[in-house]
Amino acid sequence: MKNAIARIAIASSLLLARVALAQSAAPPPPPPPDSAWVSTGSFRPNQTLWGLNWEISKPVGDFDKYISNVSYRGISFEGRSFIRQNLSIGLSFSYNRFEQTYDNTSYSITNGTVTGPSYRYADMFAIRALGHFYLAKGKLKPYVGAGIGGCWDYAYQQAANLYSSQSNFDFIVDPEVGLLYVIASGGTTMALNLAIRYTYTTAKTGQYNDAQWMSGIVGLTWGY
Amino acid sequence: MRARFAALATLLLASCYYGAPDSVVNGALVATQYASGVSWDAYTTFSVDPKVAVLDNTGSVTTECTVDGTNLVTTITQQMQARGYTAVDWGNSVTGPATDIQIKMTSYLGSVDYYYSGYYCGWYPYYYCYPSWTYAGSYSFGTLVLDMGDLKNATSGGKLPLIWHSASYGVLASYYTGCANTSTINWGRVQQSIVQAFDQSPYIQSAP
Repeated sequence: MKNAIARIAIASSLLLARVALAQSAAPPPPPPPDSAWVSTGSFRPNQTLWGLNWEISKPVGDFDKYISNVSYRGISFEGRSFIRQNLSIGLSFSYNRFEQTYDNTSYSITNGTVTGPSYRYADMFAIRALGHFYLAKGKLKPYVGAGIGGCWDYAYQQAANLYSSQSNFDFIVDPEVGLLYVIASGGTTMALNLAIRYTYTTAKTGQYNDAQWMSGIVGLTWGY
Repeated sequence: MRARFAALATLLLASCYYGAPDSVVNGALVATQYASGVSWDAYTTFSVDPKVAVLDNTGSVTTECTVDGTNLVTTITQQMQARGYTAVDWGNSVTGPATDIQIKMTSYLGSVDYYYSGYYCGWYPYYYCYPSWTYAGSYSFGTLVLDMGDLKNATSGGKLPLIWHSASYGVLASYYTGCANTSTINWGRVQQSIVQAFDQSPYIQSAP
């Protein structure tokens, strides 16, 4: 018995000695990498952002002749993944509805004209690849970016009991400038997203081509 | 919890609803078309048939009748005279006087068939077609059609070439109960649509 206890004591001593040796020989832990998202006391780098945005849009260009009303029906959902400290790529889905009723409008038809009250709307469903470059670190992170992809669009016009519509899958590109403002940080980080975006599409609405609009964007972003 | 969810779902569905408002669906729509190659300054005289032919399709059987459209003749005459044409009274004859242009009025009630492109245009020499427009829904109001015939260049025994056509949709509103009762027509609404038809046809102009 004494012999067995002596063996255990020797083995433990050797093991402890190895651990102590390993600890003294190990290099110091590397400093935490600078967060691509936000640095806090309880540091955790955020590699992915998820965002939900409300979009307020105003048609511009020829699209403004089709519908001039400001659209409050816009929403987008996006994910951004950081590939560098100040660079992210991602994907976005968005929906925008433009709508207007006119008391009296005129349309050109073959050898003629149609005049009367009319109702128009346009739906834009877009899927875009995103790229964003962040200009600063910290709680305020201004950024510039752009999306490019495809847009399923549907435009509808009705006068009396007549309607016409156009539908297609078109090209879309939309540069934007924005700002992420961190409002809570920790294991999960939440930020307010404010942005202004210009959207260009090759969508046809009524007799007008290339629907375009400017959007003011307010949203919330979660970082993990 | 279920009630809250149902209320929220109802709100969401309501917010997604869209559709043309009644003011558009039941609004007056004026369409005009002209025949290609018409020399409007080649005509000098015109006459308007004061009888409005009514095709009432609101019931199960299409009925036809005629109503007096003298007040509409006045409006049309004013518009044509303002463009330099000389009016000739239609008189009591069926065929009317031998003027360069003859204008006839027709009213369609309750029928949406008139709107189907490729149907009406197929057999009647109207240029009025909407190849890209489609019937959008219930529509039970009347349409007034003006046809401008070219009597000057008509051939004996042939069809009267139409040089201009207007259709005022929704001007004979629901209170117009068809051939059985034509006394409730809102003539002011009809006259306004005729003025609009000429306003959007500035090419109708006689030689100065």
